[in-house]
Amino acid sequence: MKNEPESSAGFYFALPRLFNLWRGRPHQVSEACVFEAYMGSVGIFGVTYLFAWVLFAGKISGWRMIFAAALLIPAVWVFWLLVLYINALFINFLHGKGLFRQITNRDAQNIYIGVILTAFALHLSILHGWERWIGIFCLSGLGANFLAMIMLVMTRKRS
Amino acid sequence: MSNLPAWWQSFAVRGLAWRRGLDWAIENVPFYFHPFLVFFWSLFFFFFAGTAREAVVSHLRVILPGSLRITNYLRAFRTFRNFAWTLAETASYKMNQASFLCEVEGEEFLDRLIGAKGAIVLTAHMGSYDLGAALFTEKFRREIRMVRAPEPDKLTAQHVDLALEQVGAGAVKVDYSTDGATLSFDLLNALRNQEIVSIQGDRVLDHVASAPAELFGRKVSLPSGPFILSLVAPAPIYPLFVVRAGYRKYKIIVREPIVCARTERSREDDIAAPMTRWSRVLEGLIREHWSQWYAFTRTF
Repeated sequence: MKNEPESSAGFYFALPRLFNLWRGRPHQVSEACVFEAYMGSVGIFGVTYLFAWVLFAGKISGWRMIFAAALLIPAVWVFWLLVLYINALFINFLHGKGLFRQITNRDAQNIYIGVILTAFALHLSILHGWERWIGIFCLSGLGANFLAMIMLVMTRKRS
Repeated sequence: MSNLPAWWQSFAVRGLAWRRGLDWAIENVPFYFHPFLVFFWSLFFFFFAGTAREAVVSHLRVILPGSLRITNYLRAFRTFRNFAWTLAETASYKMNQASFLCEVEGEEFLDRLIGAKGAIVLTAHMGSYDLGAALFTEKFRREIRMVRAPEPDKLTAQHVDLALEQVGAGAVKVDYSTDGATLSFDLLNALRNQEIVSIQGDRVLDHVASAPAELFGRKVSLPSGPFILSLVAPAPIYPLFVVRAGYRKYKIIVREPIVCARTERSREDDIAAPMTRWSRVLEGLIREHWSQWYAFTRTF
C-alpha cells in the first residue's frame, strides 16, 4: 500500500516546478520533497552563517576565530527565531488592517525570508573574496526562482 | 517545581510552551525551514533534557553493547532528532493536513487485524504513536481506542487531548492508563464490541500491572494488562509499530498475532509464554529501530 502525497498551491521552489512543466511532468507544489526541504534549510543556514561571519568574525584570528565560529552557529538559529517571530507579528498586523489577507502566514513568511536572504546574498556578492561567488550563486538561484514563479503564474492564468 | 509560577513551569521539558511553539512554527513557517528548526531544537533538548538523554544513552549501552561512549551520545542525539521529527510531522498533519507516504510490512497480518472482531494492538514508544493511530484510522476506516499514560503537566495533557482529537478526526478514542479498574472493564467491553484497542507495552508505570520479562538479556518488567485482557476477552494481540521511514514517510510494521489461551494452569503461567513472545518481538524491533525508541525514562 502506498499513498501518494497530495499537491498544494504555492511557489516555494518554482524553478524545479517550471522544469517539470516543460518536461510534461507534474508541476504542482509538493511539500513532501525531502530534497527541497533540506536544500532550503542548508541554503538559509549557509548564507546567513557566511554573512554573519563576514560581518562579525572576518577580521579576527587564532582561538578567538574558533570561538566565534562555534558561537555563530546558535546565533544564526536565534537570529532566525527572532526574525520569524517579528515577521509573524508584522503579518498579523497587516492581516488585522485588512491587508494581504488572501496570503497565508507561511506564504507571507516565505516572501520575507526571500527578501532577507536576497539582502544577505547581495552583501556577499559585492565582496572581493571567495564569498562573492556564493553570494552570486545564491542571487542567481533566487532570481531564477522568482522568474520561474512569474512564468508559472502566467501559465496558470492562461490555462 | 509546583511552587514555581505557571508560566515558568510551562517551559519545563514536558511543559506546554514547547508544544504551543511547535504548533505556531508549523502554522507560520514554510516547510523548507523545518529541517533547520528541527535540528537546532533537537540540539537544544539534547543539552537541556539531561535525564532523558542519560536514559537513552543507558538503553543504547544495552541494545548495542561494546560501543564507544561518544558513539552512544551521537546515537542519542539521533534519537532526539527523530523524536523532534515525529512531533513536527504530527503537528503538520494536525495543522496543515499534510499528507504522508505510508508503507506496510506484514500486510497479511494487517489485513487480519482490520477484519478482526475485537483485537489488541500492542505497540511501543516507538515512531509516532499519535500519528500512527491517526493514519491507521484514516487509511483503514476503523476506529481505534488508544490507551496512553497521561502527561504529567495538566495544561500539556489538555493540549495533547485536543491534538489527538484533531489528528484522529473523532475516530481515535483516548483512555488513560491511570483510570485503573474502570479502564479494564471499559477495554473489555470495547473488545467484546469488536473494537480495536491499542496499548503501549514497553514501559511500566507505578500504577500499571506488570510481570517479569527479559529484554536484551536483562530482567525487566513489562505491562501484563494487555495479556490478561487478551485472555479474558478473548482477543488476539497484534504487535504493531509505526516507524518513521524518512521525510514524511512512515512504515507500519505488523508482526504475527500473539494468542493467549486459557488453560488449567494459573493466569500468570498462561500469560508467561505470550509475554516472552512479545519481548522477543519488541527486542527485534528495538534492535532494528533503536534510533526511534523514545523511552526517555530508564528501562534497564
